[in-house]
Amino acid sequence: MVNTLRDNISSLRRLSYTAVLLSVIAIIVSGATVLESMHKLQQVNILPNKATNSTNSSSQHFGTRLTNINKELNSTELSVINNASMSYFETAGEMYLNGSIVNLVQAATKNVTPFVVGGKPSVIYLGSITCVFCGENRWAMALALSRFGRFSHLYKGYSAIQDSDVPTLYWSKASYNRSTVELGASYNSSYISFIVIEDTAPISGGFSLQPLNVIQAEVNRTGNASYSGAMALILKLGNFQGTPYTIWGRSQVGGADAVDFGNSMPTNSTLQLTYMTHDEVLNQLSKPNDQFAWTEYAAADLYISMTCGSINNTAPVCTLPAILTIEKNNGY
Amino acid sequence: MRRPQSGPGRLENLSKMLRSRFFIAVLVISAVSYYALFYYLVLGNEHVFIINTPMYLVYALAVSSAAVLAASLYTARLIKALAKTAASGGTFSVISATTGGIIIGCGCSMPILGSILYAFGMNSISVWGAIAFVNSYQAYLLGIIILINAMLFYYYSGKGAAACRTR
Repeated sequence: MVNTLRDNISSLRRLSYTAVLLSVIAIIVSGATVLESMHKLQQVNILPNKATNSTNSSSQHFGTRLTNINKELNSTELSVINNASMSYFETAGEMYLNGSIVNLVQAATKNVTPFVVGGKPSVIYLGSITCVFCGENRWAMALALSRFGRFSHLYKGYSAIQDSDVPTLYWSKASYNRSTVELGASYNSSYISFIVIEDTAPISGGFSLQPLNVIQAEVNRTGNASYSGAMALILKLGNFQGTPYTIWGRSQVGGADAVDFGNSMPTNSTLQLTYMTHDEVLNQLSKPNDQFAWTEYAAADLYISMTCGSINNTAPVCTLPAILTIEKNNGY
Repeated sequence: MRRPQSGPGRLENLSKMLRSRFFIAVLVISAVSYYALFYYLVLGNEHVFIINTPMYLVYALAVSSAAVLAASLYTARLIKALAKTAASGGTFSVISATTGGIIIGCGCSMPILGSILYAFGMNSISVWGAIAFVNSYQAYLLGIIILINAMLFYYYSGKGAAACRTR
């Protein structure tokens, strides 16, 4: 009787130790994640619903900022993209070919049948405003696309605050405070069609991507056959492995074609680009003199070569020796 | 029938284990190795270490997985008969670290997870769904793995306590 009672007490004591230990662990782990989620929610709630054109940069430090988000590039800024000197593309291409670009520039491509819209092969982009690689990649994309047409509008934006908060370009004004899908860009070209499918989510959080069926439903709801067809093509190819996902004529690229977050390859999550402003990036692109800028041009050169290969080299940029060499070397 | 071990026995064993050079050596080596594994898995995405999850969760995962491995090896060293049980703990430790690494590495681009899922015959919609899910619940998924690791560590500390008493 006494032994049984002792055993029971011992079991109870053991159970209580176990319960206390597990509770402490559960509280620590879940508490941290819940606090983090609450923090995210608070950040989402304080975001304005309309575009912020204010310049309260003093209260928005790099890495946690929304300064000038959705603000349209003025004519001088837009000119940096639209009127970049051909010599920059040639120089960057030569640097890429002779191995003097220190950042990674490469693209794993797959040959596809060009998606033709309005008699022109398409450049298809599927990305997310929250994605850091999309954010970085849009600079190179914009430079490349400017060789085949002109942007009439581009907007300042950022990747998600918790996905490195890098300054970037938005193709159109972005719904940075809610999850939706935005289509299109103010771009005109006689060589190519540019199809933009951009997933959005509150950029005060981290990287986020809506499920494909949601994105597809949003695209189909517009009734635009070109966008629905582009989405169907992405599905048919069946090789989506993240964003950005692009198709340049007959070359499909999985991911960004460069890792360009500063003048050297980053070794941790602290990126030089996070601490740059749009003005600084545009200044660098207008007069490239460092690895960051040359890498953007070299990344653009890869996209240009792919596109040239799909339009029989009919655009003026396709005659640049570096572009022709890249096109030949990479089999675009 | 052997009497199950009580709390103080477990605490005593924990104290011995934490003072054991063998345990500490295995813990440190495996924690560093797991962190290196995470680094490799994240770099595999885009050749750059960019993660969405808080770093403390990454460290907690490395340490908890390493603790399970160290505790299971420590137990196996004490009780040869428990070698198989300890081996399962070691295996789980490696699996949890690898799974955690893939979850940590899940960002804009995730060719590693994508490749695995495609290899299982999943289509784009399913793979995309998995990516969206992992991204949405990244911190929670890591928290669950860390919790399981903690429970396993607790389990092995009890096994070791039994060995201490029977010796």
